[in-house]
Amino acid sequence: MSNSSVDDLVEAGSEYHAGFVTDVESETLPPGLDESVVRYISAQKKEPDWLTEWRLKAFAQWQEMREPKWAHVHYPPINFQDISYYSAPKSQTDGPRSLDEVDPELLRTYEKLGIPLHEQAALAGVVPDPAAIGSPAGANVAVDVVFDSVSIATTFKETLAEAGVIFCPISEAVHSHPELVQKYLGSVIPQRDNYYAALNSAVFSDGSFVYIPKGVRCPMELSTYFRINERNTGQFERTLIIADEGSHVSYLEGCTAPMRDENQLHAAVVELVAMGDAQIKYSTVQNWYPGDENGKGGIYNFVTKRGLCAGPRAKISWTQVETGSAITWKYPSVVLRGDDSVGEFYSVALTNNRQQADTGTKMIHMGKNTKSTIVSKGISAGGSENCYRGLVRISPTAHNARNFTQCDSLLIGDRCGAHTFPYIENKNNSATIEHEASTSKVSDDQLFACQQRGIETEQAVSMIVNGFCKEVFRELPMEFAVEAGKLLEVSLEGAVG
Amino acid sequence: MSLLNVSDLHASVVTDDGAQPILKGLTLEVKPGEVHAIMGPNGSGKSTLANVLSGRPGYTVNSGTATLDGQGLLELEPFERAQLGLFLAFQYPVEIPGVSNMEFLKASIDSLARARGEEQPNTATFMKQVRELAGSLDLDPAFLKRGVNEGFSGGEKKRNEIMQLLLLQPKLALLDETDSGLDIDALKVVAEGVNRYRSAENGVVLITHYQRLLDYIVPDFVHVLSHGKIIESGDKTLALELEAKGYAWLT
Amino acid sequence: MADLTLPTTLATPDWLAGLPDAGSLPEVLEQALNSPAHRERWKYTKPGPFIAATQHPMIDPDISGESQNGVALNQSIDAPLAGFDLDQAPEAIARLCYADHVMTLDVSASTNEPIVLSHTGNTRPLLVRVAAGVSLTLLETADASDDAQQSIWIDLAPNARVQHSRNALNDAPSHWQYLNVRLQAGAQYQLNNHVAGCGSRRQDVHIIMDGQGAEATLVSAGKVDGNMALDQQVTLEHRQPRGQSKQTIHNIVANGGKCTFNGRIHIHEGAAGTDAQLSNKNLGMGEHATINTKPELEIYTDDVSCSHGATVGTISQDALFYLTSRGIDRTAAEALLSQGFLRQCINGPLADQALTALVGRAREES
Repeated sequence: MSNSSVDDLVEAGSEYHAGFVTDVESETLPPGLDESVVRYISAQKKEPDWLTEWRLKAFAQWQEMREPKWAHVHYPPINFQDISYYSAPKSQTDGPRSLDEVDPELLRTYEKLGIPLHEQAALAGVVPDPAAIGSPAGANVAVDVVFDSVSIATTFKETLAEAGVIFCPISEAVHSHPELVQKYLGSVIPQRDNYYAALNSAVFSDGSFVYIPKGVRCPMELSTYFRINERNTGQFERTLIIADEGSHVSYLEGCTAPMRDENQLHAAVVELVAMGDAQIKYSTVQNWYPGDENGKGGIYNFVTKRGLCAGPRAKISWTQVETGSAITWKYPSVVLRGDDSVGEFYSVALTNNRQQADTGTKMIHMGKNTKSTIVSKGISAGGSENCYRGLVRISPTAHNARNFTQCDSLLIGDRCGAHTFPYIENKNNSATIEHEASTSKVSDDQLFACQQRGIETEQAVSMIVNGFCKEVFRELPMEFAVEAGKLLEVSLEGAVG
Repeated sequence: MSLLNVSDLHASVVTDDGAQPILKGLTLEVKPGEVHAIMGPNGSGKSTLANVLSGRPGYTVNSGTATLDGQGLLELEPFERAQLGLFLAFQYPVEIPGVSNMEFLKASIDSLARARGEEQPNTATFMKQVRELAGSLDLDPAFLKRGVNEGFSGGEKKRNEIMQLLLLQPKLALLDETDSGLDIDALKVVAEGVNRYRSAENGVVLITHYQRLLDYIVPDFVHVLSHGKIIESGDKTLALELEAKGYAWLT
Repeated sequence: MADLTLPTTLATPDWLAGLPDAGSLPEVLEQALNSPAHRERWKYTKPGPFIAATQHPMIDPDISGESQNGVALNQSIDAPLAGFDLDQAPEAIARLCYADHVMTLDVSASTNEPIVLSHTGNTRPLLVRVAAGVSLTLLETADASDDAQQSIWIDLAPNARVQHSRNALNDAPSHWQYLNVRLQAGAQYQLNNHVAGCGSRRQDVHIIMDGQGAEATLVSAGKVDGNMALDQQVTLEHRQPRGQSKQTIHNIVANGGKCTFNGRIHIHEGAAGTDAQLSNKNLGMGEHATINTKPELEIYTDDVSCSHGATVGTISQDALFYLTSRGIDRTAAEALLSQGFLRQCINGPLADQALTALVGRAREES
């Protein structure tokens, strides 16, 4: 990331933003956020006026709002004027030339996670030497990678096109399908919803746009991993997925590889719209860099995710495995507006060392005969704090609503904390709500029993923890499930004496 | 050459009120092919012996040595002792929900194979072997899908321990009150399993409170443990004398 | 929500001088009133009227059993009790200051007869100290027809045992009961709570397990209908190892009733071997009832066995069918089932009165 002399720019005073607009796209904005930054971002993406106005409106709202304060999450105050809000896409010539140039620590983790070599290169951002492409003499792993990824990408694009599925960056969709974006952007998470949603709406960089036409079962799982340039969407990702009547889609976000990023604050917004009889399955395996043992340098992950079951019998499932970030604040939610609609939330959140997680879900029942299931497994180790915060709200119109919630906490060690704050607000007598929570530990007896049978401590802990998370892992698409298990192992290293 | 050699072992158990000495100079030698029974009143240190040899947390060794096949045990981690060939059949087997019995057994056998530099057994063959073993001990193979010891009666838990003994084929088996809580039929099944395990190369230390088990698993030696030491040793007739006269006769 | 403030500036009585921050008590209390955690506790009920009423004039409750051997009733105490919690109970501490004097009950020998309290109006704060190894039965009824408040602290010395039964079945515009119980090592406390909604009723219960091996049991039956309201805030803190607590709260909420339950279990670091269970079941009947429940867990150590459950539901269709298939008409069947649901939590010396008020029939008739 270029960092042109900030002093020069500061000296230029209030004119610097205007001056910047005319400069080359590869520059990065110096830190600071005001209206002109918002306009700049919009101009860089050549957005239509309606979107620029939309961003500006969000920015105005954000300025009137206050940062939320939660009892169990502590972090030094974020200086929003200290962040750069625009970073140009990395050019093709940036980056390591081969795996040899990649941080060996990173490679060691990839290996532990069982990520195949060619994928490792792609993840590490290895860029081929243009001269060497196609020439055996200069061939290195990277060459294969690029070809591989490009070819993979090409194959799947064809398959999707045949089915009529649109899967592209949102910045592209704004131009190719403006009517869809305009109709649905902000329809599930209004700009005013919360502080970080407002900020994201003003300065969002890029993200996925997905549209599945009526009756179509998306022929493959959509993964952000395939979009090579996805890694550069930066910290204010915005995703919009629309499943038209009767369609089905499974979307995978993130990957198990530890994502280091220069940006400390990540405030993404994900909106899902499922029409009548449509199903959206959104799975996340996230491993943001959690910071060192003392929690320094980790990423703050503040995400607003919500799905709207807009039509009858719509279904939205959130499945997530979170093991990273210094601070995680996310509540994937489902609004069950359509009659007979279903919302599901399956989550494993692991915190170690000094991480803090305040995560959970909201299920808002509005239509008749709606159903929601929440299974949350929290694992705390080290000196971490792991909070589940959930809301099940049954409005007066939600006749015959059903909810089942199970929150379990597994504590490893006596310095960590596990907390559960479930809110149940019921305004319709015909509802049935069941909530259970339990706390347990990896007992010395269980560990010793495994050890006496020759199983080493780390493997024993991992077996027990995986058993604890089984119900959630079952809901993940298969390749994610395998990665998730390994991810837990890696994240729990050193947690048990 | 002895299989298990315990020499002048002094060990304490860690409690809220500090370390309580339990073993006060225990010496025991088990040669290959031998079955030794350890009997004694409650509090004599029987379970402590098993726990200290297997490396259970919560105990401190103050002095003395213990070796298996000439290799020092007490400095090793529990899983290392297992990999050396030590097996403990627990008095109170623990439940591990979420981890299936089959998964647990496979992990164990794979670790032990790795440690011995052997190839890990083929899964299909292994599963067949496990099912057969389970059947031979009167355990419905359906339990293999359930969590470890989950939903098991006391007798079933004990039989599960013996099944693991037969599967893992250790060099030395420590059976900690394997007969406690069992009715006569379960006892016979357990004893038959242990007798199937016995060979000229391995050894068994049978910790028991009652003589009854020894009718079915006939020991070569019987030792009486009292206040942390072995105070009397003999052959199987010693057990019958104890049964007739009670522990007070000796202590 | 606007800032919560105390109705008038309060003067710190001498006997509270031992409290930390006693010098700046009014400021400390105002801050505690407005902390995010505390405001959460008033999320579903308007706090203003309750706070304003803390300074209203107070009377003594009617009391019987106080002349037994080993019981001493007085009008003053020299030092604060260990259970006084400025952070979590600023309103109750404020009320201690506004009172012209408090009532104290010292029980130094086990009693044969229960001590019975009848709160016929807004009563003075009561501090109860039960000596080591002593057993006490305490019965309490709320009998005011106007706005009234109670604030009671019970301190159990090691191995003391208290059986506490409490009925709050009166109809009044508002009623607030603050109860704080502190258990030292080996002490046992059991509360049978029977409550009906009223204009706006608030029950705050704070139980502190402050010694090893203490045991606390809370059983509560509640019924809220006819546009009445009940807000129960229970905090159970395990500060020491091997404590056992069990809470069972069953509420029926019908026809415009509004019922809020917040059951927080807080297990401190070092409270190893804790066993804490909580079950809150809510039965919704009729129309337009509102049920809010939030069972919370805050756990700072791993060696605990802790679980909680909360349900909101309607009468089981299977059970209804079983009864009606035996010829019982639907209304009667619903009544039988809902009564059975409450009856599970109606116990102790004050059960009869509770059965009549909440279930509609006394024990003999059932």
